Amino acid sequence: MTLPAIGVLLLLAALYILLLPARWRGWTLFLVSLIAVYVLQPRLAIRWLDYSLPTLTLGVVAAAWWFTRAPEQRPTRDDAAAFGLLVGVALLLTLPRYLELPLIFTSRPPPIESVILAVALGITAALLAWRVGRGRQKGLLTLCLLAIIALFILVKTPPLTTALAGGLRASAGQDVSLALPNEIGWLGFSYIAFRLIHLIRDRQTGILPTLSLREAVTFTVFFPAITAGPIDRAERFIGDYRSLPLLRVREANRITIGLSRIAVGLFKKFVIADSLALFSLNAATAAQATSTGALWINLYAYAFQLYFDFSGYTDIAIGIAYLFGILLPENFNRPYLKPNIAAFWQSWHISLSDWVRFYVYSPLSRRLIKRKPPLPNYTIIFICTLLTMVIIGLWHGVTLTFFIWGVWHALGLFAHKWWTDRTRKWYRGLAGWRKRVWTVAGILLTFHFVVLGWVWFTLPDVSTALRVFAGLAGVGVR
Amino acid sequence: MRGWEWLTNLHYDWRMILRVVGKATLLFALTNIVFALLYPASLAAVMRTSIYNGLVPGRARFPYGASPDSYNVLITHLDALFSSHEIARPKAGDEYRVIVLGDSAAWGYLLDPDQTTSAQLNTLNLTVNGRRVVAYNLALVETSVTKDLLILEEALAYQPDLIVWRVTARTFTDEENGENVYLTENPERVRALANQYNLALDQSRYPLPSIWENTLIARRQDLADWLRLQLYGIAWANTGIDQANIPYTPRVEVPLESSEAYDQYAEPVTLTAIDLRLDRISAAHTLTDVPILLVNEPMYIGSGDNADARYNEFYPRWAYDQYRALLAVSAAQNGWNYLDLWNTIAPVEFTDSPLHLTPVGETQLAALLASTLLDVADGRLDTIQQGSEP
Repeated sequence: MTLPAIGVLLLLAALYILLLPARWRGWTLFLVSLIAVYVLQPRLAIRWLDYSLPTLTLGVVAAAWWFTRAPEQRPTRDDAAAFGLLVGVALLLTLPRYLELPLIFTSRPPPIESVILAVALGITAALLAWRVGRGRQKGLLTLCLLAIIALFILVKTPPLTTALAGGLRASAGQDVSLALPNEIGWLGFSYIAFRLIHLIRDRQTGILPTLSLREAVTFTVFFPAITAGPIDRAERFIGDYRSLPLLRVREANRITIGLSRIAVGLFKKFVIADSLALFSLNAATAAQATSTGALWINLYAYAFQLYFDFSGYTDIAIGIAYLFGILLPENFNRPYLKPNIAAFWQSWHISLSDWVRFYVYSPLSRRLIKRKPPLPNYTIIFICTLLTMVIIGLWHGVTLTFFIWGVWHALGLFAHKWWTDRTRKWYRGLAGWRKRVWTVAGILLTFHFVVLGWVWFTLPDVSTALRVFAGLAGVGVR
Repeated sequence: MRGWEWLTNLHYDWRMILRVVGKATLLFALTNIVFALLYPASLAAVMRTSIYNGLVPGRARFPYGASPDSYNVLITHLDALFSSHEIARPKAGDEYRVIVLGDSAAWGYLLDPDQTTSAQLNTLNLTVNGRRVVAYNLALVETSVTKDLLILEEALAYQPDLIVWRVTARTFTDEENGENVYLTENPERVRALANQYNLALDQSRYPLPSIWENTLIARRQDLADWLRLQLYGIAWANTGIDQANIPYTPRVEVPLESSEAYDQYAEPVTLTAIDLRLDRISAAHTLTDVPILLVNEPMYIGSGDNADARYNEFYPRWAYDQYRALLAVSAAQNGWNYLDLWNTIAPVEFTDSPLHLTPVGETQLAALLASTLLDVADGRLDTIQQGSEP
């Protein structure tokens, strides 16, 4: 989110707080979220793609709602109105193509006829799928789940993304040889995918509350959190969303806390993180470093740049959402001050690790525990931890370095678990200065384990990462 | 909000918010006013604060250009420039300090910091009366004799023992073409120099800022650039990189145009010492007793079509010959130490412009400078010296 975008959202928040009747709050958040999907989408080189991707986002979310409705849930007038508004926004944003309007919402959109055709095809496909899948909701939901995972893999795996970019360029009459993986820059898709998987899985397990289309769309593409989270849970979100008409937003407490949170976030992201970015570790600075000390400085700078950038963004998102009456979950809790790697993962990108724990670790461990013949406990723990952390790694990008990063943390977590089990009694006996020394040592060890893991996270390939590790150990640099 | 209890546990009311906002606004306004009233001392105090030569080594040359790839930011405040430069470190007892002034050629455009004239001089292990010669690159990437004079005046605070001043025709004639940011951003010093030494300078081009332009908020770009320069110090220390080199077309491959235009003159005219702003050189000699070696820097001399009309894309023959003659006459009349190296480097050693040298070219130039430099240091040279052709 850029500074101008934050400025616009603050202006909207002011209007929302000061002028908007309470009963319109829910619809306002819905409408702003629809438009934000287009406005926040980065401009892309492939023709019409920065219009098509947001439209596809809304279409996928609407379809996901349709398929995850409770069997007894019938569409209401509210749902019809929400759908009409959703389609209306998509069609309205094609108008800059025909009228001399400033292209502030999207770059040059496609012809309106093609959008209408795409919408009609989408609705037809969804209705057909629903009709065919009637009575087989579980199977249909599994198909939806696999489709989202397949789409995720497609847009996050560089060779596949490059091929997709080539295909889209060819269809748009553009030079295929210029295709690059980062041309499919789909705003917030990683987060949207996880929110949709959450809806689907909760419907499959029967714990998803009844959501209207408006609630489902607002939850999935909620504008403060669409770019980089946090990943909220539907039941928690709609609790706040449904309370909006009754909420007193025009109170000094809410406004002060919201604005303070935003101010802290702005300072963290645009002052501290952007300053550290000038010399933090990346492929270029790794190649330019002239000493081991320089590499360590670059690496520490990256560790703190990442933290301040991400947590600063989260502060801004939480602050803006709070002004609008929604309390998003926290995502960070002083992660670099944690005494062990397990505590780190309960404090870093909390919403992501909670999600993966809920939807991967817990179900998998339950299944493995029930397995006949039973597996040893540590084998179960290792498998579940490994798969969980690998998924977290690959969620950032389907590349070897992200995979290794996931494995790195899995090994760390497993080692911590093994060590803790063996030393629990001894640790409980620690007191006074011995405990403090052990805690500080734990913090330093955990911090450096995480920091070294960032080498895999930030560098583009294994050979560069290995060169950096060698450099950090004093090999290959002065 | 877990972890934010320090923020959420307090109770806020409108009166408290108004009090805080009011006090903050007042404090902000007061700070701005005080900063403006204390200007230029207020800004200078910030600009002199630096992590260079302390936490990180000083830069080998002034930062040039706003380029994140090369860890550069455009800095025009002289205090910030000097405080980030290695010349700001204390002068050693056995150091004979030589400063090199000039334009982009002297700065070392397309050269690494260890390939410039000053760096090459430092590899020659020269000594003057038992003191080792240490050369510092104080060139800036702008051709302007007034800019050079500005830098020279500031550099005197750093105890130079000898000044090598690389000049070319454009040093004297380019100044009025376009805006020289080092002059426009330091109008107080430019005007002071002009008044003190009666320089022929249009002071209206260098207006003094109003008090509103000296507030903290008005100077935010300067402060942001200063901060960025400090952060880039870490990158400088880590990498030694201060320029992103780009591909170029060697001068030998660039054909000469037929036009004889030069500066504002479409056709040959007779140039005068006023046109060449030689009063700046006189001012420099009045300003300080430190020996100055004026060097007419080497340039690319083209051949082939139109070589009878032009030396290169910068200079038609009529203009450059007049400049050389005027400079030589002025140097002789005023007793300036003057070394003319205009045709001493082979054409193949020029890079993207008729003045920018390759590393080999700079090595040759340093060798040519060395003996003359020692002569000047020993007080043996006060007449024109002509370099030899390659």
